[in-house]
Amino acid sequence: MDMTEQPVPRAEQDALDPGTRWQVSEVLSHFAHMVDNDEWTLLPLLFTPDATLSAQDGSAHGLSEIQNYLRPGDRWRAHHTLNTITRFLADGTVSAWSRFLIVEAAGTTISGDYVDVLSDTAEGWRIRSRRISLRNRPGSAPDGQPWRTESFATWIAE
Amino acid sequence: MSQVAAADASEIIELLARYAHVVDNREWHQAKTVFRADVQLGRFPVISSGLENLEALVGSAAATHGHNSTDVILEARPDGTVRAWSKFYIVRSDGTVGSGDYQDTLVKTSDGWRIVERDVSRGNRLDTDPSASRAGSTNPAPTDFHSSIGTAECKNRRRVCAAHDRRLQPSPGTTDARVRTIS
Repeated sequence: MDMTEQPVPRAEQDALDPGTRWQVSEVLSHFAHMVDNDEWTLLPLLFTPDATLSAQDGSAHGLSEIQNYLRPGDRWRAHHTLNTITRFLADGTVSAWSRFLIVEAAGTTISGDYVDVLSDTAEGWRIRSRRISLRNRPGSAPDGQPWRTESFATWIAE
Repeated sequence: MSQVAAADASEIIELLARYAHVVDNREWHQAKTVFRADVQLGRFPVISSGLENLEALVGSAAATHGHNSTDVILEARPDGTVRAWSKFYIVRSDGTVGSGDYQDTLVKTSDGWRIVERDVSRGNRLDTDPSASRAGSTNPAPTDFHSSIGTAECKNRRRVCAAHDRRLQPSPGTTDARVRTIS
């Protein structure tokens, strides 16, 4: 079945309560502040110790690998998180699909998607996995594949 | 994380979005729904005090770019006020984008949450980043709100966050106006 042609129903039980929604939103926003300020000591507040990160130019497992992946970024970039939509998964975790906008020093921008799974830990909500996909890019991705494009089908398949 | 209740967070996020509409449309009569009358812009040093002076300062910048508010995180203080750290990006008339940060102190008044202190930072922008006035050719205002405030904020930050700035080792000729902490 081609899921892209099917509307994804929003089931009542999938919807986040306002408290959870706000806590998830704050974790995603904190990520942008952390990256743009090189505040890597905050990493354990945002990701679980065994968190995974997957992009087409690399992947990471665990906090130190995530930091190594993120850290070489252009320090003149600014990250913005937009258009987050959320749903509960059956195991009580939360799946969040966000658009990011990166503002570069020249005033140019890069846009793409984060698809995250967040877990409710004793210390609060943390990102357990993050998939990063650039959007609307020319050519092919660094891994030689076409640029990955998130959709409702890919989000639901999470 | 923030210990700010979802209902208050929702109201504050909307307040920060509301500012973008107020400033982009120069609807100053709406400003009192965002700021308390004695709002202070800047803390080290104070750049302006009072809503009228803030309006005059913001109004001197070209209204050719739209503001967008993102990435709100909040921290509740023991005295009942809330510190808010958000990001903004402006889309200029030439299509370029500039990014920055707001750090605000908010107080819950009988009319709802209001901003009583605002610090503005240009964030990770180069000194050569085009100003709003240069980008807005139809209105070459002499004062660019963001660059003038950003400079003041940068000087402040050099003093307050010297250790952090040293660690970042800014390149010569660049403005390191990053915001380090929410406190």
